[in-house]
Order: sequence, then C-alpha cells, then structure tokens
Amino acid sequence: MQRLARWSVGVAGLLALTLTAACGGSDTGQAVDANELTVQTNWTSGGQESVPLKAALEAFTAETGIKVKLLESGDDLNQVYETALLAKKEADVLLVGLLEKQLDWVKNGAVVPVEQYVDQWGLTIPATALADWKDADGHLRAFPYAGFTWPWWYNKALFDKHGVPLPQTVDELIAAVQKLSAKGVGGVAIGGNDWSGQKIFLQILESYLTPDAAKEIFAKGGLCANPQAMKGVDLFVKLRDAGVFVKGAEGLTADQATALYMSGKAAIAPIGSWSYPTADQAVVGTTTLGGFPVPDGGTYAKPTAYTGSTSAGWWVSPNGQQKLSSVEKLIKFMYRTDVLNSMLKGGVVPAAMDGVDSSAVTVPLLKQSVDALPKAVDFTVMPDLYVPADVGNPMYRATSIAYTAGNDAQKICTTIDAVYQAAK
Amino acid sequence: MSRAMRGAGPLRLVAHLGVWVYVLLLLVPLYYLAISSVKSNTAILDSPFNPFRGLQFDNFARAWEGGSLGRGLINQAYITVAANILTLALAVPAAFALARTRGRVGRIIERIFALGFLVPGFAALVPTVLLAIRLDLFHTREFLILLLPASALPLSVVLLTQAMRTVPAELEESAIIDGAGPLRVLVSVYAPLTLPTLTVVLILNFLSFWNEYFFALVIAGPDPAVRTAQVALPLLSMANAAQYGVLAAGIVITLVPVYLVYVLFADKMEGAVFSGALKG
Repeated sequence: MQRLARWSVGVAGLLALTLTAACGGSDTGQAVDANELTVQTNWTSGGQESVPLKAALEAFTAETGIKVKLLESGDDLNQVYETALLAKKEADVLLVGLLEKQLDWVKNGAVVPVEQYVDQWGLTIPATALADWKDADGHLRAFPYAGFTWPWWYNKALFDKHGVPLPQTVDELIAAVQKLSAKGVGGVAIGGNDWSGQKIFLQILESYLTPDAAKEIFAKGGLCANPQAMKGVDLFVKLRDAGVFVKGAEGLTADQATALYMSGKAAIAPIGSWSYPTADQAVVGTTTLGGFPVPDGGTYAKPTAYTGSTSAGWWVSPNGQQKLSSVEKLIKFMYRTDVLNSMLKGGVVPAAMDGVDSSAVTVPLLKQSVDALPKAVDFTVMPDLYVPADVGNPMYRATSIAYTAGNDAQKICTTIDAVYQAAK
Repeated sequence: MSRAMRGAGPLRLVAHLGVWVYVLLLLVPLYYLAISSVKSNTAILDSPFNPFRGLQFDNFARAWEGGSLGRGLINQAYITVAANILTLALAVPAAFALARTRGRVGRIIERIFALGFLVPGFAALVPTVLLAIRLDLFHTREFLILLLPASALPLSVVLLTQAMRTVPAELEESAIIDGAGPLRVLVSVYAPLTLPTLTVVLILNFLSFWNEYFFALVIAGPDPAVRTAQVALPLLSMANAAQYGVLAAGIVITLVPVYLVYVLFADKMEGAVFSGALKG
C-alpha cells in the first residue's frame, strides 16, 4: 500500500507541477514593458553576422538600460512570427530580409510601415536602399540595414597555373573553360538545381535587356515573346553546350557548387557575399572577385554581378509600436557610425555601399568587394524584388531544366512562361 | 539444431550475407553522421565518406554553444519525461478498464481510441494553436506536455489493452478475494504482468516526443528559455550559410539521450517483442 501511495503522490505532484508552470506560462514579447525589447532575427548563432549583432545589442543595453531578448529563427521565421502575431505575442522588432512572404507583411498588417520615422528619427539611409524596401503603395516596409553582393569568384591561382588569363568576354570565358577542362579543372560551378541556379540563369538572361525591360520580364514573364530575352536564353544555351558549367550542374545545389570551388575542383563560381567570412582560407588569397563576362553586343559594358540592399532590415511589429520610444532608441543606436563600422568589421555588408569606409573591414573578400568590385563590374537587376512570391519556388524547378543538356531555348522559355501563367 | 537447418548450408550463407548487408545499410548513415560531425563543410560535400579529410573537432563546441543545446536538452527532457508520465497515467487506467470490460460500450470506446490513428498531426495544427492561445499557454512547454499525450494515447491504449487482456482472470479473482480494490489489482497484478508492453509504449513515446519538431517550433517558439534542442538544431545551418559539420555534431549530441534510454530499457523491450513472438 505504501508503494501505491508513493505512486499516487508522484502523479499528483507531476500534475500539480504541470498546472502551476502552465499558469505561470512563459512570456515572449507580450508584456508592454518599455524597458525590454524582443528582437527576432534569422541571423542565427550558426552564422557570422550574429557575432557583431550580439555585441551591438549588449552595448545598447549597457548604454540605455533597455534589455534586449534575442530570438533566433531559421528559414521558417515567417511561420513562427506570423503564428506569434496571431497570439499577439510577436517580437517587437525583427531583423530579417525582404523576400517571399515578407513582401506582403505591410499590406497584411503583420508589421507597421516605417516611412515616417526615417526623417523623424534622423536616420541617414541611402535613397537607393529606401527605394528597394518600398512597396507598391509607397510604404517603407522596414529600415534597410544589410545588403549583399553576388559576384563571380575566379580562382586566379588556377588560371595562372594553367596559363589562362581571367576572361572579360563571353568568348574568352568559353576558351578559358575549355583550356581548364582539358587540364582537369572544372569551369563554372553552379547549383543548377536550386535558387542559386535560378539567379544565375536570370543574370545571363539580362545580358541583352535594359534594367526596365528586365524588371518587366521578372514581374510578368513572357520570355518567349521578347526577342531580347530570347537572345539571353540563347546565350545561356550556347554557354551550357560549350561546357562552361561544371558537369552535372543541373543536379547540384548551391552548397555542392560552392564546395567544388572551395576545394579547387572548379575555377569559377558565382557566390554571394554571405560566404566571404566563411570561405576556405585556401581560396581566400587566390580569389579575384568579378562578374559574368561581357557578351558580344550586350547591354552592359563591364562584366555583371548582382548587388542588393535587401538582406536584412529592421521591421517594427504591432507590439513594437506599443513601445515606440524604445524601438526608436534601438534603431538610432544600430545606425550610429561606430555601430555600423562594427557590423562591417564583423563581415556584415551594409545595405548600400555608398560612402562605406572600408578601412574598418578585416574580412579580406569583403574588403575586395567594397574596394575593387564596384569598379570592375556593372550591377544588374536583382530578380527577387520583382519575381512574384508565388512564382519564385516553381521557377527554381523550371530553370533547372535550362541546365540540362538537350533542352533548347524554346523549351526553356516555354517552361518558365508556364510558371507565370500558372500563378495568374 | 534441426536436420532441416543443417541441410540448408548455402541458404544459410545467403541469409547471413543478407543480414550483414542489412546491418551495413543501417550503419552507413550512422557512419556518415559520425564522421561528418568532425569535418569541415567543404570536406563533407567534396569527400563525404573519407574520414580523414577536413577534420574540424570544434564542431561539437560550436553546436553546443551556438544552439544553446544545454538548455534546449533540459527543455526537451522536461517535455518528454512529463508527457510520457502523463501518457502512461492516462493510458494505463484506460487500458485496464477496457481490458476488463466485456460489454458493447467498452468495444465502442476502444474503437474510438483506435480512430485516433486517423487524425493527421498537421490537420490539428490550427485548432491546436488557437487552443493554446485561448488557454494562455502559447509559447509554453506545458502546452506541449498536455498536447503530446493526445497524439500518443491511441497507440498506447491499444497496445496496453491487448497486453492486459492476456492476464489470466484467475489472478485478478484471487486478488479480489484477498480484499484488493481495482487500483490494487491494477498496480499489483496487471502492471507487473504487462511491464514489457509498458516498456515498449514508454520507449515508443519517448522517441516520438523527443523528436517532436513542428509543434515545438510553432507552439513553444524560438525563445531559448522554452526552446527544445530539436528546434535549435536547424539554426546551426542556414540555407545560404550551411554548416553541415556543426549541424551533424548537434544531431549527435541530441542522439545521446535516445541511445542511453534504449540501453536502459533494451532488455525489457526485446523481452516484450520476443514474448509476443513466442505467443504468436
């Protein structure tokens, strides 16, 4: 009977503990306490950007006395935030990029528009970045904070070893890759099976389009009916059939393609600035950042690369609006020159490169990107701001067929146009 | 050894080979996980099965620190243990009652429990979230402790009911003659005789609760104070900043408790499986 009593007491104790704890709950960003802010971000501890971010937030707390609770979310930040919003327990401020669902957050009331605060709080943000973050109604979705560059990486040591000059034109690129391939070195490593392959396909597609025409094509499709766009598709097919992309590119992911470049098995790879801080030391010193070489008769005079200001911005939630004075202090702090420099030093690419002081930069590839890249390339239109949210993912699959041998320009354009048609 | 078995030499060899191939197939992913946990990203993608390339032993420290796995494991253990106890506390009496019932109502209730298998977890997401909000238990671990047993009860009750039906009625009658009430009969007669099945249910529920990700992500949320280790793991490797070595190290860390639980209860679980097989 004693054992039975102990068992009963144990179960009762557990239930009591459960209910007590349940009644206490765990508060996440719900209380209107101006002395505490909850920041949700996808700059997780797994990435390099979180180091300067955490240091800056600690300094902010030390200076203002306002505590900051940092919530890290992964690629599913959207769902986590929107569910918390339903419970009115969303974070006060978010630091996250502008893509997919976030494009409609202001329209859906998930965050508050912030255009009025730019001048009110005396924030100095370049007009180009502000334009990127505005929606169709002219509302500023968030304060632009971090950007990116997406150059083509050339392993100069490999080129030198085999006596091949770095290509400036498409014809030189084809010749260079054929020479390197003959020596057993792969050409352009690209993840033809995912988002990275889609971006590079669209970059090549832009070769004969003006920026406005490119925006129109990205927003509405219609490749097959646009002769200039078709010239870009033809160019892509010509490069693919000439063996410019590494073997099996159509089945590679961005990670696998990056690994091919980092291990020296491929001499060229388009890789974004998010890889600057984590690039293998073996290739950091031998990499020259450039762009996609110039095609004959193309729109751009220099090789092309992507840049953008949409990697991360500071969003204000409805909960954040309840404690606006604290949010104002945080945003002003994060835009202070010394804080921006500390972010730059930690490998964060600023939202706009205008007037960036590269003397603070210690990451070698970021320094090259800030100092030399803008002179070496023309920046093309980044598709993400124009490709509709419901077209993005299906288009990854459609563009992957472009990397598969045997598919001609007509089949490629038809497949991509079909994605736009299906989304209408 | 029977004559038939001695005579089946070549067949036995094939069977042995088949078993070894199966064992190897099971070991390959474990080997891949183990060596990936001490390798660099490039080496994992470039030479996935080479154990000597790109060794990087700080992956474990980075995973532990970056994912706050210490706190995450405590949260996960709290949810798993509490939900497991609650499941057993509900399933054992329910199975006891169903096993002893001979009437039509009992059979209907048993079938209602079995119908629980038909409810997919995702279908319950929206009402579950709304319920958590309404109860003011959103972003708490305690809601998970109350929710998880609901998903585990159908299997637990069905397994335990079947096991309890095998208890001889004479034992129960003797206990009743000696003055035992229903609770005493359950604890002193049924529970010891169905201990192997109880262990199976406990282990199955432990695995299910321990590996729970989606509800833990959406309902408990990202706050490190309540976040489970499973929710923290994906933070170690992002879409455009993959750190597969660190992620693999994190997975290895979260597998250790599973392995320990299995080692602790393996004998009883195997006993239950074999006793079931012999009875069959």
